[in-house]
Amino acid sequence: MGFPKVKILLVEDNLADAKLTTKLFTRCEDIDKDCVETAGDGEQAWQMLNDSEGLRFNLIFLDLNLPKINGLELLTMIRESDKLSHLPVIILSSSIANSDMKKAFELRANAYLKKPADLMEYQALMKKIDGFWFQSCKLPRINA
Amino acid sequence: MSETVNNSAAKLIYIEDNESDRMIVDKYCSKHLGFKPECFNNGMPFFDYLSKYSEIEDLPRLILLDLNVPEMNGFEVIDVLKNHDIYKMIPVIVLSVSDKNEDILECYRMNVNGYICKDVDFETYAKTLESTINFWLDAAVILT
Amino acid sequence: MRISSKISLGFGIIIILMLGNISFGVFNNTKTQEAIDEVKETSFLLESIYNLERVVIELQLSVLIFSKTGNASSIRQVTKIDQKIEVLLDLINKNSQGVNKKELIDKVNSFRKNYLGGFKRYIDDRKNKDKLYENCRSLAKEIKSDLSSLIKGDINFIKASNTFSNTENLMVNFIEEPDSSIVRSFSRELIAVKEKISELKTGDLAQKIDQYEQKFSDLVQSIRGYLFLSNVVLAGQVSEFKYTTKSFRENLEIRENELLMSLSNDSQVTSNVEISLAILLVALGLFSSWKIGHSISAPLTKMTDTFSNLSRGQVVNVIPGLEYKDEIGEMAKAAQVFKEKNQETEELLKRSQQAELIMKTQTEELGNVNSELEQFAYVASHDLQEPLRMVASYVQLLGQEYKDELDEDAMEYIDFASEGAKRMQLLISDLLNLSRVGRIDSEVEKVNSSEVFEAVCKDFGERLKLDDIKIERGSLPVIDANPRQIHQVMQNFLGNAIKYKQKEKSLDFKVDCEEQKDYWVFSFQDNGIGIDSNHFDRVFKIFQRLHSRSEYEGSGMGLAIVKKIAEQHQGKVWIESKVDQGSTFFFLIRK
Repeated sequence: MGFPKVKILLVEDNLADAKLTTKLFTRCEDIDKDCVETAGDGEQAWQMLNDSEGLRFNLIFLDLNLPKINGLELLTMIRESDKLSHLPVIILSSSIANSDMKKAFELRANAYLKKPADLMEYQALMKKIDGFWFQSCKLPRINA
Repeated sequence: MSETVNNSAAKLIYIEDNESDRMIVDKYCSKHLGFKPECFNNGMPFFDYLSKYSEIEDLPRLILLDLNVPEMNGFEVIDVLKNHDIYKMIPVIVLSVSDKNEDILECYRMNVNGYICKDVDFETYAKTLESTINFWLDAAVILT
Repeated sequence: MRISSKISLGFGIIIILMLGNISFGVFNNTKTQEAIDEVKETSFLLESIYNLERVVIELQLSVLIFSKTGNASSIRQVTKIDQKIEVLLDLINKNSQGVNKKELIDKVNSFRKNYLGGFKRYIDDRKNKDKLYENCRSLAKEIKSDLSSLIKGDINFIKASNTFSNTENLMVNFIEEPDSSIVRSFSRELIAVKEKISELKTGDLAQKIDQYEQKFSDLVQSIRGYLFLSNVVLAGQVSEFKYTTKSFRENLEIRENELLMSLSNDSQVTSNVEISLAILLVALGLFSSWKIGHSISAPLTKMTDTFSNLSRGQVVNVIPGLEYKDEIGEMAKAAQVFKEKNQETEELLKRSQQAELIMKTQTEELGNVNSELEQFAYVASHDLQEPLRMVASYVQLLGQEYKDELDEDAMEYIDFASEGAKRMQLLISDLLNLSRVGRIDSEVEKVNSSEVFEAVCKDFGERLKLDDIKIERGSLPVIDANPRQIHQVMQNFLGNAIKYKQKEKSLDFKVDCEEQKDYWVFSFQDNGIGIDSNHFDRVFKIFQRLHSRSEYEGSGMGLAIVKKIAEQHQGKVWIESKVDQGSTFFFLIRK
């Protein structure tokens, strides 16, 4: 025991969005406050991912619209890193432009989600995320 | 066998050699989703089937792949799929009896989109499959 | 001078020269012909004269024969020959023209007259002579017989009789060949006879012998006379005739020679003249044709070049040939116009190229503007949606998290706020849709409108399965359009029909498509609340709504989007409707 089953890294620059998403994550059954950490930009995210030897996070929710290093660049870096290449990355973006999606899939994002328009939709979406990713899917083991 | 609109492949592909497992998926889809999945025993007939479709909008939207299928096994299927220009866009959820981290990591390294452990308990397994299909066919955004 | 005149002139010169040559030839020919005719006539006359002379010789001969024989046939012969002469004269008269002929004919005729007259006297004389001769002979006979009766024994009588026989012989000789010596001989003999008988008494014998002598003398006289006639008169006439004809002949021969000489000279001259004329003609012809041809073809060639240049659209700077006053000049003027037109065309081309360039630039700018607009619209709606999402989400969250601490009013405020945010989101989403129509998402492909309609119905899901909605489909074709946009259109019409249906009645919705020559007309008919005809145009305007929000929700964009889609497909939309009876929306799209 000791390590959580799920440890999410939420990379989101919009504070309000980050807070909302975190709140909804924590409403899920198996997720509590410790299971979610937020990075405000790509650089910070990269630091957080690399600051320990082992795996600190096993699920990344990534917004594409980030300052400094944008989402797709971060994704490329993750996929090219030996240590982190296997991490499931879920894009959570307000844009559903085909070009963004295509690039994301080329870079081996696991899934692509559109940020819902309002709370209701978000709650419905969260249910599905929870159902698969937190309840059913087997994620890499946390050891850091 | 499955509901296809003229030139499109089935939305859900299930490559599984266990009959009862197939039945669960079949039933769920028919009852709740209004369509039947296309099932295959192993990779070979699956690729035969898949080769008929090359346009993105005609591709299946989810592949559930049991790693332990005869002839062309799961890894080989994943290899082919994920290295193909077009087919790599299709989400592949791997089903395995193993919950060993190495296996999980191995699959993620091969760029599978998710990993599910086949539960002993059918009820739970059914729920798992349900959530999987729900997320991938409903929430996840696909390329068009 | 005009070209046609030049050509006419050239030909004219040649024709005139040719005519001149021909007429000279003809004239000469006539002259020659005349000369030849004259030569012919002269020859003819000569020949005729030869003939005449021959005939006259024949005549003489016949006369001579007559003088020898005294035969009547000779007389007839003479007449015949005279007729020959007449025939000859006739021929001459007919076939010759000159003054000579008259003279000739007259001379010949006068000869004939004289000669034949002479001949007639000759005939008479001869007859006379014959008579006289007869008398002589008969007398001689008498004498002879007398003598014989006296002879008996007297030698002198025998001598006398012999001598007398001599005279008879002499007479015969004389008749045959009159000669003066015979006459003398005759006389001597007769004297002798007379001497011999003078010694004897003979009585009237001496008288008879005197008579005989007298008769012989008469005979001689007569013979002399007709000899004179024949030998002198007639002969003289013939001589005269011959002399005349000879001089005629000589004259004619000279004339003939003259003519032949001049003929040969003339023809030589003519031939020389004609050859020279011909050479001159050819030279002139060549020269004038070259000159005229050149004067035409040189400017023509220039003209042709000019025109072919002009026809290729080039602008020729100087038009050659403007200085000519003839057809070339006219062509040059036309070429001038042509050149001006070419210049105009070139300018127009330049201007149109400029215009094209401008248009290109403008289109590029437009394209840029468009893509900027598109980006703007997209980004605007996007960026607008973000904060809206935040507002909506947090207001709702507020409601959820602090439910226990909030009273009814507070909850209501939250509801309103939430609703407001939601509507705004819808509006933004519709705006984004509207801006997309015409830019992205407008690829045209083959769309099965029937399938699209089924997809639209499926999207409405459970709502359609309720029994207050009946949907009737006509045959919907495969059209060339953008599938998403057609989906939007149908969704809009069906959605509106459902929204604005009459509350008490069930909705009868009918979708159909009519094929026309160049387009398809879709119709969407309902039995809803209908639209007043005054508002037919308004409904398609953006943000225009006919009802308050409390009655019917909606952003007021749906039909505006439909209209834009129709325009995008080179079509249009319009309505037929009656209030409280229903509406039919028509959507026309080009094939």
